[in-house]
Amino acid sequence: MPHLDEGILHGLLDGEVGSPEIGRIEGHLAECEACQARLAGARQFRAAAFSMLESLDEVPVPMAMIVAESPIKYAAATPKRTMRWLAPIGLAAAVMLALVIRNRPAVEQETPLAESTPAPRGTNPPAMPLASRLPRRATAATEARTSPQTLADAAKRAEREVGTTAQLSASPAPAEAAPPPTVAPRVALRQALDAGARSNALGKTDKLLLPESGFAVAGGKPAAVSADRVIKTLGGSIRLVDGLTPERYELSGIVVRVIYRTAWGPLTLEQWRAGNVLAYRLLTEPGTPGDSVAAWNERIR
Amino acid sequence: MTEFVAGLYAQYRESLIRMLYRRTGNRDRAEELTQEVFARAVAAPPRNPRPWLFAVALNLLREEGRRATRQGRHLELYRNEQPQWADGPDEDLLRDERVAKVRSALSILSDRDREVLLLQAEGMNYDDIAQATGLAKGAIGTTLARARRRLVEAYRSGEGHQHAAS
Repeated sequence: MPHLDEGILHGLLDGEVGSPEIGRIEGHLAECEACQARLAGARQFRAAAFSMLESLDEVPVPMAMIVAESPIKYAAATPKRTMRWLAPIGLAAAVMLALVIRNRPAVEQETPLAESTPAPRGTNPPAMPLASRLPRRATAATEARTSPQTLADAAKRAEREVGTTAQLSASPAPAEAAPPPTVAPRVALRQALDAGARSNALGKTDKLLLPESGFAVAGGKPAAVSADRVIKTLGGSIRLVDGLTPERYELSGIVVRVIYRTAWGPLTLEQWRAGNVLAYRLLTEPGTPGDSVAAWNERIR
Repeated sequence: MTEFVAGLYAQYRESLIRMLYRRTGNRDRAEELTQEVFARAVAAPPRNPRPWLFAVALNLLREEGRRATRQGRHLELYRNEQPQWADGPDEDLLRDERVAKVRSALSILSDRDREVLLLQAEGMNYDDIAQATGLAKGAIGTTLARARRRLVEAYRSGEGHQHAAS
């Protein structure tokens, strides 16, 4: 038999070789040291390419930055929208106020009008020329951006949110205890779950993801059910391994198992809903190559 | 948006954005292109949605690349957003360097190799990749093997240049 070409080796690693061919390929690999070495090389290239592409993905922006960012854009955009139609009103108001100020006692005149009486939303301090209002607003925007209090508040909020999530992933609470999801923590939790699922798949014990209750089913095997039924059980969504077609679904209490058939035996994606989180872990047969497991883990959507 | 396309949106939006972001390095652009993909899906709902959606995304990228070339610039010249890392400055710097090197290595690949690589990294099987790219299914393994090898070699070669320069 001729040596295996690189395309076949990569197809084998990607789980794209059908069962009739696998026997022939494995038979050849068992005897051919050159192809074994090339398979090892292909495995390294494949893993390195995956890792390089993953490094391009964005790291989640900390919550503090998201919170601190929103008022800046609003404050900066407001003067541009309101300038034109406010100009004649401002001019008329300036004339009237100038007359009022002229008739006021001296003490009141020392207090700048714009600071003592905030203008209603959507209007500008009328006594100030249009040009001098812009830098004033820009300064306010800068203050909003750099104000230690604003950032500190935002950071505290973020810490509280992320802290709650970390607590959830570190010690799984019953389903009712899960907090409502927010953008950044959800990302963080997903990463935690991914990491947990990988370590599970690689055979390490990871108790972090296991629910404490509602897991066992009294008596008998789990029941094979339809996709609709399991999706309903999971609250309307389900995790799947992209690129693989489920062989069957099983339901065991609150736990759903999506079972795939691979060259190395059944591959089970076990999942359950814990509050707002769809927790999962990947279970593989002993002897399944680690990089295939890692690839499947990466494909869980 | 129809219910059908809404389902596709929920299922594939994240994956499309990731693929487009890996290619462009511009999160806003990746999201805009993804919106455009789904706008087209609303206009003409696809029968086999996954390869169709990714094929449209790749077409949009190619069109944009051609337009950019006509305007005398390259797609790779997109302003790389500076990610707001949460780690310290040293870690940030190292990560930025690595990202720049990976982007540079990715830009060396041919369009076909790069597309197949990005699609497979999104978990698409060879059948879907073949449909999305128009390649024969039998050619996907060989294309992927070449793309992966070239990517890694280009990255290592960039690393070598950098060490020699420093």
